[in-house]
Amino acid sequence: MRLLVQNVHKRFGKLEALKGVSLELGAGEILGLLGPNGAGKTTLIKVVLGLLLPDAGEVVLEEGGARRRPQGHEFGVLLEGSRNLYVNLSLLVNALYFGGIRGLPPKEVRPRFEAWLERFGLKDRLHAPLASLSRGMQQKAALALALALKPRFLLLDEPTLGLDPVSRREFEGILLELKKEGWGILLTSHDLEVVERVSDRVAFLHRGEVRRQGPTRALLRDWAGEGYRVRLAEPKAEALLKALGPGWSAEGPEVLFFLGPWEALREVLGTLPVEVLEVSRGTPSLEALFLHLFGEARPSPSA
Amino acid sequence: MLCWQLWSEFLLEWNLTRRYWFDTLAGLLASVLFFYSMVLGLENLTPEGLASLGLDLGPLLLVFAAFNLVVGTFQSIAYSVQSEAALGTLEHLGLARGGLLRQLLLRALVRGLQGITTSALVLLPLALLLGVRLAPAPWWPLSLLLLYLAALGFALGMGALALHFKRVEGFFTIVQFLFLPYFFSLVRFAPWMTPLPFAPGTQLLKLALTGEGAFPGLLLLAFVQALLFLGAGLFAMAWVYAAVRRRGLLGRY
Amino acid sequence: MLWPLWSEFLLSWARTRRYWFNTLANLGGSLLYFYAILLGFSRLTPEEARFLDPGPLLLVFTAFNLTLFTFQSIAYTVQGEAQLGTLEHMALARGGLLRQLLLRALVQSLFGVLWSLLVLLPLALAFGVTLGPLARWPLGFLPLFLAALGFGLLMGATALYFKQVDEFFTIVQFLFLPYFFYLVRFEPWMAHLPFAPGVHLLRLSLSGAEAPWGLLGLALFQGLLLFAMGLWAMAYMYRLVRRRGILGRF
Repeated sequence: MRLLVQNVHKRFGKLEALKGVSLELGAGEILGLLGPNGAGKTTLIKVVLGLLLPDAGEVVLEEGGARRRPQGHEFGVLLEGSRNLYVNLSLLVNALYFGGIRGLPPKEVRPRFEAWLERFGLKDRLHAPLASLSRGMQQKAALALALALKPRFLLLDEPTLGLDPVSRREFEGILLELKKEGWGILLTSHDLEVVERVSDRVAFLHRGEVRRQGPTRALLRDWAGEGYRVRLAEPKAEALLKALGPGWSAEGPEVLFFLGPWEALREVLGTLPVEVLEVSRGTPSLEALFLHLFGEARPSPSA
Repeated sequence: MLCWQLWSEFLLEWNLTRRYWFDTLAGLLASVLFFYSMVLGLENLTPEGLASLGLDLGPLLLVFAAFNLVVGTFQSIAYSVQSEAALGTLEHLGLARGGLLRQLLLRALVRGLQGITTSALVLLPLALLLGVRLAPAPWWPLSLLLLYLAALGFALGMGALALHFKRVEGFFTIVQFLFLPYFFSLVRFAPWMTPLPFAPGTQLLKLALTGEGAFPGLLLLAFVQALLFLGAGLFAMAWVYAAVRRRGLLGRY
Repeated sequence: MLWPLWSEFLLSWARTRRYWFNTLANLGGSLLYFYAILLGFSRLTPEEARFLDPGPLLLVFTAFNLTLFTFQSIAYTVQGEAQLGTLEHMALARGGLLRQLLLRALVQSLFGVLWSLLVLLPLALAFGVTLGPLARWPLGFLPLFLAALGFGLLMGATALYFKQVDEFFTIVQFLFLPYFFYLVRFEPWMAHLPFAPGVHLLRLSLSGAEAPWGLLGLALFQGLLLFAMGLWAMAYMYRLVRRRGILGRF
């Protein structure tokens, strides 16, 4: 079973939000969709869900040789922000309601939902109104619901938003488990470490276009040895980052990574206010790659 | 599948009733006051009493209950769209099996049933208190159904407006003027009124509630009008739903 | 104080534009409504039963509309903000939630006056009515507005706790029945009923009759009393919902 997005175009007035986007998501696969704010990620997810109609192109579900347009209720969804559920009603009522409108009986939804809540440490809040939960907890509840509906595909728009580090780690584990069970997951996140660790493939979306896509490892391999790791004598990497231009990222308190030509690096090295202990060639992380590809889209603080 | 979607709407309605219990109770009390003052006013202020309207107290109560139901139905879909958009859950509702339109129709149905329950809760004590007796013709549910379907069609039209403009309560003020024929046709039905919106359905209901016989012509007319309204409403809703999804306005409040 | 007020103007204007269809429909609805009242009054009411000329009648109904609107505005603001999830943010306004709600009620009333003018002027022209001896109209309206604002605050306090209170307004509207009774015939025993002296004062000021000082004092006293009660109720409820943690909850 595969979900195919084929040459999708979407325009809002003068803004061309999607310019011929094509993607593919199979069962048992996690696809990371990356891009800066306003790249078109949420628009794409809404097109897949049928909440937005494309100007051209189509979304197709391929199953056993048959092709058809998937229906909205076949997806487990976490739409961006916390606006997924009725904040004035309890977690249980939300789960039963949104399960019901997808045609699922309560006896199916409730045990699964309770199991996921238990896993997220929220079992005792089953009857509490959603509004009484913290933001992170609301996110977990929405995630538990998306999972309890046992859909064919999961579309997660910024799922780690508001989660604490422990929950984030646990969430990573859950995604990997779901993948093993054969779920197809589309994940957008600015938490690039998570995407790097769990995704099989990534697609970089920029100004409505897929700039690059491919297997995560292979993509990183393509860039193997293309960057430079700079070890500092003092833990000032984060502080320095603010003054450095695009292409730079911090890998730790004392380690900076630069993805770009040697000449550009040499120029910067001379001006660093901290002693440099070592410069070595290295493979960039997904975050470094992201900054390299899209860094110019944002004005650097030093500019 | 459909039964669970309907069940969901019952669940939601019940939980909202409980969550906003104060509003629910106030609504019930308001309805009792409304009906009571209506009966009192008509009995004491009409020169020749209720007889001049050709209605006894019982049928009058039922006619007003039906009127309440129709007005409630009129607004229900647009109100659902508006509040879901304000809460930010409209898009999630759009993921219902069969799509947003089907789910909104189910919700309107449940709201209608809730309206009937509320009316019963209000009318029965009043009927006992005022000592009225009800002797409607056995086919009165049919006449109510025809009027309800016409109202539902109109509600879909209002819902279509709400899908695009989101806030349309001001428009209801204008729409309420359309109800004037309802009252005219209730008091004195003249043949030229037949093409007016809701007029044949209302007249049919009045005949049913007073236990009189209905003309097949009137029945047919009410039926055609109901179908016409429903068809037009469904078309408007489907068209606007596609348009807002094309323009990316669905979830926007 | 100036900028919080400006903010409310900005918001009201932005919402008027964002929901332009609703704004226009409201205007059209009001026009139809007032037209129907004028038509009904001039065609259906016997000559001897007319207690006001069409001009003052229009103004009385405008005042009635404004009063009704003021009644509901604070509660609707609370309900709407809670629904949008912005009520708590609004409470961070300089001077607190209560002051900002009052400012919003004020701005909404001003917008109400503006819309009324947009409706009334064409109608007055179309019907050729004169708005005659009405110089003291605002003074006659002030006590009534104050009383309505006080009542609006009481409703707002209810909304702060229960959030959804639309149906409750239906009951409250029955309180307006006396408004019509006073308008037609005012008797001394009515003086203590809510809104009665204010309404009577308004009617006197609109028909050009001299208003007794006692009535003015009574109307003002009632207005201030209701206003103070509303403020107290609102402040009490605001503290209560913050203690219970249900301020932002819808």
